[in-house]
Amino acid sequence: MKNFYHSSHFAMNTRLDIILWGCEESYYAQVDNKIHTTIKALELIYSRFDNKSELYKLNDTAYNNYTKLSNTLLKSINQCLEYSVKTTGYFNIGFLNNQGMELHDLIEVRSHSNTIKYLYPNVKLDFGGIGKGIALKHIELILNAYNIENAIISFGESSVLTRGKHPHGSYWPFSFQDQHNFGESLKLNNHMVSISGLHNNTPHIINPESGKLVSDSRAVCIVNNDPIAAEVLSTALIAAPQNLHQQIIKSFTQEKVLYSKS
Amino acid sequence: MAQKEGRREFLKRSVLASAGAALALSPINNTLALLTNGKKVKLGYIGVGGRGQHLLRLLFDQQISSDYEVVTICDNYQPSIDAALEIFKEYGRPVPKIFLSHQKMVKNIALDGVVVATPLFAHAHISIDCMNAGIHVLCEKAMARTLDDTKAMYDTHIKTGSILLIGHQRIFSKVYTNAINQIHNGKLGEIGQIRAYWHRNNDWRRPVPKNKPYLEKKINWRLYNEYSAGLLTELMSHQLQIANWALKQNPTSVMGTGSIRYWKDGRQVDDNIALIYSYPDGTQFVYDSLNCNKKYGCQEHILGSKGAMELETNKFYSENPPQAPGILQLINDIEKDVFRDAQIGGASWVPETAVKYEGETIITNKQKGDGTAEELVHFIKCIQKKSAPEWILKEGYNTSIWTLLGEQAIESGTKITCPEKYLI
Repeated sequence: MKNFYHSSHFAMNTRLDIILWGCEESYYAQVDNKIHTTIKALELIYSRFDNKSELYKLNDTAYNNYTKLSNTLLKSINQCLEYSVKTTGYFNIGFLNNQGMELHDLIEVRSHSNTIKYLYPNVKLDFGGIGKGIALKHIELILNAYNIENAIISFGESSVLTRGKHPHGSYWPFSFQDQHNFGESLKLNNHMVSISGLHNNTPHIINPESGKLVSDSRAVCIVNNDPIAAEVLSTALIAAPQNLHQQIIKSFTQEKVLYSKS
Repeated sequence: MAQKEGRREFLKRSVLASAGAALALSPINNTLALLTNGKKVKLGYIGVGGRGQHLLRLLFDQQISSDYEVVTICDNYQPSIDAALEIFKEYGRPVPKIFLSHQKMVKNIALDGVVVATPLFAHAHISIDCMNAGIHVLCEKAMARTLDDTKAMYDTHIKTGSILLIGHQRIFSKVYTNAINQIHNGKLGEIGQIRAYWHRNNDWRRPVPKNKPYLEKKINWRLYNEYSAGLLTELMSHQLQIANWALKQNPTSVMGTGSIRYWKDGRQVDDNIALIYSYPDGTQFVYDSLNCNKKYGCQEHILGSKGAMELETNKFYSENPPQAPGILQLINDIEKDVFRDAQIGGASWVPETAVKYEGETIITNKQKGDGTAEELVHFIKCIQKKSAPEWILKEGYNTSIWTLLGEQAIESGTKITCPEKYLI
């Protein structure tokens, strides 16, 4: 097919696929490059594993010490505090080794001075449950700036941003392939899909209340138009007990919540 | 007449060739290139009805005309002779000598090989006469109408050293040889069952001239017991051969039933049959064929612990197929102008969803046709080399024996085993 562009990179500990169509390849290469450099910059802020990142350094120094942080990181941490409340504590970027404590119990943020202090020695912040949403939010701005009409941006097929439509249809056709069936079809245009659950059959989400890895075989798929909210909600629903799901879901705007069968 | 080599020499070479071929599992290396020794192989066609004419065309279509010459045809039905002569004319080939009887043909013309495409009941005596005259034989499947005739053909091959090749053309198909090779190398794990069927929705009749009703049995010989075992010998034998080949075994018993269910038009052979062949390792070959519905067509399903194959359609289905990444599928679809769901979010495959899995191709470079053209070329090549892989004949022999034992099972309503005298 003409004017079809695809590239893939290793980014944010997974495979990033960029699919664009409708314009010249050289133009798309510019978009690709912009996305790539933006993600690199975000990783230097949010990566828990990169010793050059702001978060890595923060995790190293913020216990019992008011530590200066960038506006970007401050904004994100404040956003995570809000989401922690909206999910009754089940979305928690500071859950490491802090069983049963909510995010606002673990850190103290002073927005007026752009500083943060960790209240316990074993607190570490981890943006794994929201980082790809933050990245996709930035990518969304890039797509708008470059007037990209048709696109798929996918992090590991679990965080997928769609724009426009498939070259041979009026939408992007996906189906939620869960543990037990292929579920229903998703007809996506300008959407965000976030899927949380087992990754290659390996638990990777920690229940902030119990401190244990979630080993339930369920997976959950959120479809909305907000990359960050979608990531937060799918992560929280995997961690939260089922009797709280409706309460959490009501706090968000979304089009679809799909579950795999357990 | 082609010069004959000693029987002992021939057999020695045949056994060596057989062992090599059986290991390679590809009798012809899937090539149409012939050895050229400057001498044309002289061929005769005995039986130039529908099938014989098809075999003539297939041979004439191959780019090997310098290696052989069809010097004679034989048939006792003038319209078939006329149609065959038209084919010679169409392809610009020299007019062949025509005989109404194969004995006269064998006596009067020097031949290296014959292609026998007569009705089933005539296979044995024609093939035996030819082999006894030092002529190599490619005979259509099944081998013969009776067990004793089948054994007599095999024994004559052993006695004379003449090549005897039976027309199970799937042995020469790339898809089948490749699939069987993969099966023997464990691709499907342990095979538990083979299911096969051949369904058609027609009366299986050829038109009989209105003013010559006495030609009914001559033309529609497939429908009369004296000449054919119907669906068993004309269709099932192909698929039973594949089962034996895939399993590298012959059955130990067969049960079956059959009836004339739909075409109550005076025919004697069943239009609806079902059989189960059991093998020494416990594998079952479950077979059915009928003439009143064509929805499911023709297929062989080979079912193993690690996967299944559908050979007629060149498909392989793993029990644990690798998960196709959804984005990769999406990209492939876009490039192929396909619009369908890309599956995302799955972590593992589950067998219950197999209905959604479309399988994989066994091989991508299929040849045209079903292997019959390659079979004809192989026959000429064998004549030039004066040797043929013995295992191919054994495949044909055992298949023919067990096809006829299947008929006995249907007729007797009992489980049938193979009498020792037919074991080779």
